[in-house]
Order: sequence, then C-alpha cells, then structure tokens
Amino acid sequence: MSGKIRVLVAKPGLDGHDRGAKVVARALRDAGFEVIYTGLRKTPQEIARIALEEDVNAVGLSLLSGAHNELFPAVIAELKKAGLNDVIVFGGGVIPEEDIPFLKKSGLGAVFTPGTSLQTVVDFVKNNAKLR
Amino acid sequence: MKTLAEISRALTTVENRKEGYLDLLDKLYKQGKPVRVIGVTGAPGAGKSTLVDAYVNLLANEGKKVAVIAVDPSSPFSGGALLGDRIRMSSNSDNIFIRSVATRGAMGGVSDAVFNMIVVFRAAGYDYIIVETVGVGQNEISISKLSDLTMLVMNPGTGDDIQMMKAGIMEIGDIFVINKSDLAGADELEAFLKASFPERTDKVFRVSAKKNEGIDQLKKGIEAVFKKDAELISKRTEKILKEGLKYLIMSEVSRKLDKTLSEADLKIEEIISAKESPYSQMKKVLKSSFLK
Repeated sequence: MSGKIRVLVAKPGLDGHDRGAKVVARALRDAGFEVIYTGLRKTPQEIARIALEEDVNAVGLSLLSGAHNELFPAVIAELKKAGLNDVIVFGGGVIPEEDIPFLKKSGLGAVFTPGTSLQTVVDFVKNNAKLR
Repeated sequence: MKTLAEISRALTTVENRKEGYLDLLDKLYKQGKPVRVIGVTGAPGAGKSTLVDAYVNLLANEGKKVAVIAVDPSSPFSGGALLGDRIRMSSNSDNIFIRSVATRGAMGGVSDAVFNMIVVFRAAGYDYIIVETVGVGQNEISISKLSDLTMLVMNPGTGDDIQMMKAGIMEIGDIFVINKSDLAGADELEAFLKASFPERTDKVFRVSAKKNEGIDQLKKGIEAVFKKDAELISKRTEKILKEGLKYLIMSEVSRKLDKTLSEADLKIEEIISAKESPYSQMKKVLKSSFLK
C-alpha cells in the first residue's frame, strides 16, 4: 500500500473567519488528500506541534486579519525549529499583492488570493508535496 | 524512539506499510511496556472528540502520558479524508500526542493500521492510548477487539429500551457515557440503560464534555473498572493479541492476493465466447498463485 499526502489546514492568530479554509480543505479532500483541520485561533507553536504529530507533507495557512506578514513567517520559523524542513507551506487570504514577494522570500511556496480557483491550490499541493 | 519526530515518523512508516515496517514493529513490540488502551465510540456528533479532550486533559495534568488516535472516514470515491477531530481538542500539554488517522477503506469504525500504531505508542512509553472511532451506527464494533475497555458515548433523546436491546454496538460498552446530559431526555436514557444492563448500573455516567462536567467521576469510574475487572481485562488482552495476529496474517495474505490478481492473465474474450468458463479460469489462476 502506498501512502497518502497529508495536508494541514491551519488558522493562525486571532481570526474567526474560516469559510475559506473549509472550502479549501474540502477541495483537497476531494482531490484525494488526507486533510487535517486545526480549527480557529492557533499559535505558530501550536501549528508546528500539530504538523509534527500529524507528520504532514504540506501546511496551508489561512488568514484574513491582516497579520500575515508577522504570522506566516512565524509559523515557518516554528516548523523549522521542529525540524520540519521538507514540509511545503502555502498561504491564502486577503493579502495585498505587494506583500507577496516578502512572504515568498520568507519561505511560502505559494500565496493564493481571492479569486484563485480550487484546482490551482490542488495542483500546487499535488506538484510540490513530497510523500515520505 | 524518543523524540516526537521519531514517534511521528514511525507512525507514518507503519500506516503506509513502508519497506521494513514489519521489522520496525517487531523491534518496537519487544520494547513495549504495559499500557491502557481505551476505545471511545458512538454516533457522529455524540461528542466523542470533546469528551476525549476533557478526559485526556485530566490524565495529562496528573503527569500521565497520553496518546490519542482519532479516526475519521476516508472517502470511498476520492480516497481523501477530512480529519476534523482536532478542532475539539484544545490541549497544549506536552504529555499529549494526538494523531488523526483516516480509515483508508477499512470497515468497522477504525483503520487497519490502528493495532500497529498502538504498538508504536506502547514502545514510546505512553501510559494511556485513547482510540476514538469514526462516528458509528449500530454495528461497527472493531474497536472492542482492540481496546482494554470501550466507552460508548450516547446522547439524550436517541433511543428507547428496544434500542438498548439491539445486538451490535450496545453490546460492546464497558462504560456508558451520557454526554450532553443537560439536555432533556437524560433521565430516561439513564433509566433505559440501567434497566437494560442491570449488571452495569455503576458504569453509566452523565457528563457534559463541553462544560467539563462529570469528567472527574467518569475518570474514577474508568479506574475502578481497570481495578475491579483486572482479570477480565487480562483475558481480553489475550483476545486482542489473537485478533491482532489474525489480522496481521490476513493483511499479508491480502497483499499477496492483490499481487496475484494484478498479475493474473485473465482471458476475458475466452469467457465471452464461452470457450472457457469463469470457473475454470479461476481454478487456473489459483493454481499458478501462492494459494495452490
């Protein structure tokens, strides 16, 4: 039996809006991935701990609060600290275009803004997540 | 196997049946220490995850190391899964390790990998392993074949005395938990349970997992079962190992069978033209396989 790609969908920080995260989680499920959803308001440390326990191949971060420039790099730093160097990280939410180069430089594989098709997100995971 | 990363990776190796997983399990099994395995089952939305969260927090605060294996269903269509048990589990304790698991086609409410994952957590020195099943109906009882003790989580307003008499899920509860017991109908459910299981009246607990009420008494009740029914549980351990061994043999055979089937030279045209029957072909395939 071969393995399955496991994806963590996470909501960092103080943001109570998770419709987008749920829609993405469901699309990833329908694409055949095993998706773990953290629920709302997790700290970067909590997200890294969950990623470690679940041994996921990818982490998707959803944020609509505007704190992405702080929280996304913080999650990436915690993942590195936990030794999860081969986990791909992507982000989504209302993120201004001008912030994207900084986020990508911080280690995000992709940033998905409103209007992105679900297939684009699925393809990104399919093409980048590596099975262990 | 000491760090969380090592435990986590071992779980993946075992779940994906990666090269060498049986050798790893062989080694880990021999390192295992005694552990309490508790199954938690019940209908979808009964409050299993919330209850597990409240219960494991109590254990962790006492310094116990607790592993949670939370099972949710895989899609029979896409093979994907949405593993959502963590949403209700808010613990930050270092003593708790939660792993979400998809059924990956297994029937019966748990994944085929759970038995082997228990072996991993046992070797890692956990004191308790809680296995939460998928939301079940009336007949998914696999959990009782893996656990020392099974908790059946129920809600007020979900049945009368006839439901209690039905075969299947009602027969596997060592402990009955009436969750959401602040809702109307809790008295009736308690009365039905106690009347239907007169030998287990001390094993019915009313809780509200969300409000964290009654969890202390439930925990004491579980300890009492482990003490009082020690003999029963040790007999059950024998049964668990026997079931586990049977399952291991079955899964090896089924892997070989998959290989046989994928390599089999099936001549469908001959069957369509009735030159051969499906039965003679079946015999031929079996003859050339490991089943001969």
